[in-house]
Amino acid sequence: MDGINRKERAGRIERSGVNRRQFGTLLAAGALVAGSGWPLPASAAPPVLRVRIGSDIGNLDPARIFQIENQTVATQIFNGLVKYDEASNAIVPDLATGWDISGDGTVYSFALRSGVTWHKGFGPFTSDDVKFSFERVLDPQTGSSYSGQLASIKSIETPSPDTVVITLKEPNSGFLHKVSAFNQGWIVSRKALGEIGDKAFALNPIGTGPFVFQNWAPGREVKLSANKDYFAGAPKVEEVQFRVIKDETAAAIALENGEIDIFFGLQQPEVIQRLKGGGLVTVHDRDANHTINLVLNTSIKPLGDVRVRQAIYHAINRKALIDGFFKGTKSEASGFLTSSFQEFTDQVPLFPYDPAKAKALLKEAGVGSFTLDLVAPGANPYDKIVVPIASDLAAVGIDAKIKVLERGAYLQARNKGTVPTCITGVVGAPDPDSPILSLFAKSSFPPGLNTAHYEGIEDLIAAARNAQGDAARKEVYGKIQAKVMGDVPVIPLYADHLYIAHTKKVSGFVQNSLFTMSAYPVSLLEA
Amino acid sequence: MDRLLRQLSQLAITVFGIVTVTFFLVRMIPGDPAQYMLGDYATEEALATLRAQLGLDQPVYVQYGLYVLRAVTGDFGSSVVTGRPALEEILFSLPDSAILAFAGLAVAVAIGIPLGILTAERQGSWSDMLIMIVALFGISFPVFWLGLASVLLFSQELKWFPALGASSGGGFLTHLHHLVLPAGVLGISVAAYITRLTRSAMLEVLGQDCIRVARAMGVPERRVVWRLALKNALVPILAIVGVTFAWSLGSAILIEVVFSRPGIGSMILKAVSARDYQLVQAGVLVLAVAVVLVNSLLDLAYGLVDPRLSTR
Amino acid sequence: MRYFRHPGFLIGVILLTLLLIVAVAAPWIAPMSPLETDLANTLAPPSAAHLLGTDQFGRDVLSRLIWGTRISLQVAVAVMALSLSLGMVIGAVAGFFGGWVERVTVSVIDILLAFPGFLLALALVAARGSSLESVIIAVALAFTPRVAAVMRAVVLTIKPRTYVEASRAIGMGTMRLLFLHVVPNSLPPVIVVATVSAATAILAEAGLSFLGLGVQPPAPTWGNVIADGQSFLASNPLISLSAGICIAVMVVALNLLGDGLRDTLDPQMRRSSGRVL
Repeated sequence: MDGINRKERAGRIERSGVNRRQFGTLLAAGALVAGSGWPLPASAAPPVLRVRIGSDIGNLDPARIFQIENQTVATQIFNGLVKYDEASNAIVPDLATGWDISGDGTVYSFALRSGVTWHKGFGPFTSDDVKFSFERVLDPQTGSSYSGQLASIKSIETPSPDTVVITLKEPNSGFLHKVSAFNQGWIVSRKALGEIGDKAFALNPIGTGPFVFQNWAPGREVKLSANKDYFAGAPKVEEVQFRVIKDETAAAIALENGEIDIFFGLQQPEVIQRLKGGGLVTVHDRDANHTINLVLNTSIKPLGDVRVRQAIYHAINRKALIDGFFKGTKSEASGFLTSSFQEFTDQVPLFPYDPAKAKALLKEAGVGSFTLDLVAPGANPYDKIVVPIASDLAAVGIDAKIKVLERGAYLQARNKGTVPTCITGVVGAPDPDSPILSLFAKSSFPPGLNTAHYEGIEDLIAAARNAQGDAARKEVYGKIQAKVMGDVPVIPLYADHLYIAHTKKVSGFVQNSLFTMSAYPVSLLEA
Repeated sequence: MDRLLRQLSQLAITVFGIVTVTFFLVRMIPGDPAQYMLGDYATEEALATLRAQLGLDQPVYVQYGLYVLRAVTGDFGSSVVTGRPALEEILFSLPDSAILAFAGLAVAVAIGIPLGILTAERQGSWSDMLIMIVALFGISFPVFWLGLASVLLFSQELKWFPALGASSGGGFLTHLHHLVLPAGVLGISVAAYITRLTRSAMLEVLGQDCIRVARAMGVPERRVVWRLALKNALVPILAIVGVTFAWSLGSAILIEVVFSRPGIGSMILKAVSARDYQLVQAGVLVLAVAVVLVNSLLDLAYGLVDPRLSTR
Repeated sequence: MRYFRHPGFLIGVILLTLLLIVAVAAPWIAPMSPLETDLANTLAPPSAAHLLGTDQFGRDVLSRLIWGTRISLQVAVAVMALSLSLGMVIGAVAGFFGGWVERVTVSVIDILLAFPGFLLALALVAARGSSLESVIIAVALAFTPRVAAVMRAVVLTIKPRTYVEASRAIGMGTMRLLFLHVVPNSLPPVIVVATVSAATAILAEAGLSFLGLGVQPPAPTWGNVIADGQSFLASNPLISLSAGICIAVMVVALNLLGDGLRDTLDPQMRRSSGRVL
């Protein structure tokens, strides 16, 4: 618009007094404006560990945390009463040095480590902080996503600064999982929350962990510095930088060129193959504790008919997905639990790839062809795996439409429970209650994660809560798995397998199965 | 002086319009920021509490009124994801985006304007044809595609430049090293535009009577083109730079994504998917105001270039 | 025909005709279905069965590109039609009626022009969810102010022309005047702008798809093919490369057409070709 008027003006100029010097000054001024944005040069570089994360962080408050990037950063900052051993997943002491469980299984007494201090001078860690942390999660005012996980707590007492006693409403054989260092299990400081404030704490976290939160540059990086006073000894690197690099190809090039040290969240099969083949870096892999599932909403026609759900199960060529698309970087799943769970069983109904049987089942159920929305979040690889699934379903006469939603919209749609299908995996520790209660309990109906609207195991869930002893537990959890997999509220597509790569400079790294990583044991060798 | 005042009031009205447009643009985006913040296990009560805190439960016109009132004081609310003031967040990313945009534009101007003049001077020659064909392809290949290809060539294969378009720490030279690829790709794609437009502007001027007279009087052709014609074409060329500035800001979003470079563009993209109302508003607003400001500055520059416009 | 003496225009017309034929004949000339996956044969190199190889799902890349021509042309034509009709009406009303109508319209256009077009399209697609219709509407709305601006400018130059004055003197109605004289005379320059907007629409569609905000997968659009192939640039560069070339060819064709139209249709425009942007 303006350009046109200018051109008209220009057309009328026959002779003009151009002042080149003035024009030059203007350009120079522009260059100056641009130049003033340069960050100041850094001084001599201390040992800094640079870790790639695939998307930005947003909230590090343990009561409200979710998403693996947040959880990975929080892992460096916070401790729990107990924690999972990185290598074996066994529950081992963390802030608690030991614990006693009463004969009836309802009273847990934890002896706390003494001499532990909070980051940034927020004083000593005491039993009161533990009481505060858990009561904060339970307080409806906090609006914690994890209050359900601690719902079995009746009261918390602090007889002394280094003792905390937790009384449960009823025995809960899986209680130690709930107070392990992850999500609601991370302990926060009463003093720090009081002074910093509930809202600001999310990005100014104060913990007792090996690294101290320094600052966060949105979209760019998170900087943590070593906690020299860490109770288990100072970490071996001075600083950890989590750098946001979305694209995996770019991250792989950056890793091979030494622009970053650790590649967290490695998913792309071809990138994994390339990094492995290149021999320039070390690639770790490990089975995760979660499966990725296609959830079928049983409240929506015709998915209410178990034969239709079984037909869909038969129609999907899961082996081809793992071999062809994932190039063998994921494992086959027989049920919704992975073999890393103590309670896992493979004695469940199986529905191998069989399009003819799928068609027969659909015919038996009296549904011809129908339209089905496959709803997936816009994140790799979930937005990709629905493509071959849609193609498989088309082969048996189901017109599958792919709906990839942005994360916010996806969560909203899924929690409304109106989506006919969705892709869900419950990431976390090998605590079977976590996926079972989240995915299949009536109490988790939307807005919970039970998008399937499945209610076939209410009696078994109650039985599991009261089961005492490993054998009884294994039996009842076995029944749950068999019942669920016969009813097919979800189709386990694959068992997740985690990959992480680092340069040869990195030493001492241990991969865990929680889909996080710890920088504490890592040291950097001189190049 | 009068002109300056008129321009300032025009600027104020435009900025107010931009504020209004951004408000309504963002309200059309579906999704619920409360849901995003609280995550998978959030209860309906917790969501409702948060929505009330954010004012999302009020009618749109109330939200708009409050928005304008606060905008006047420079308060564009807080990012719902980070809790920090939205404007602060955006201004924090402004240097990154400004460096990329101006560096890209500088490359584009340095390449585009001389090439545009050259091709106009040699209209119809082989070099004109060749440059114009290259420029045609330059505006026809998607800019992100050029970016991807350059990462592959210059980072992976040749290892000349880093794959990441921004460094963390390091000196001036380190930053410059990281900037070369993103600014180069952006600059070359915009240069193609500037070349084409500059050539047209020069051809137009070369067709004017005064130039014909100068030629008829035997003034050497080089002098005609580089002195007389360029002087007359400077104003339209400045206008071209103004028009391409908005264009290059749009391309910069894609460049930031390709090179994993922080900036307003990648921040807006993230905010759109996070349903971060305030942040999208502030980001779109800042970019639009930047376009208006740059064009206003160019308007003032016409006055310097052509004294007749400033006295009028 | 004077158009055909312009080699660029001729090339543009030939290319576009070819692309149009490919788009119309897609079901017959595509060797395979663009959607059918074959996980036993993913990321295959070019072969007799798959001239451009297969993608990460084992789909035939050539077939996807052929079908993609349809969607890209659809986007181009729809954006052109929408932004042209909307922009022309707005611009003509502003330019012809003048007064406060013009002042308001011009301010609104000025404000909308301050938004980088791609940013505006991005925000609008996010607002409507990503689909083919969203992309078309978003890009068309982002271009409407540009068309309107040119239309108004053209109307302003036509308005004082003597024959318009003459028609008015003989008592022609305003509407009739608008449609009989102003609209036909303003068509050439506006069509040139629309050609440019169609070219940019194709680039915008590719950009939005690249960001994951474009036409939903598995639809075979060129932007989706580039986005799909992005992760395999190192191992299978042909996927993204060939889609990039398809986009470039169509955009080049549209630009050649636009340049040719500008140079031949309207001698006045030729002198001031910089205007079209």
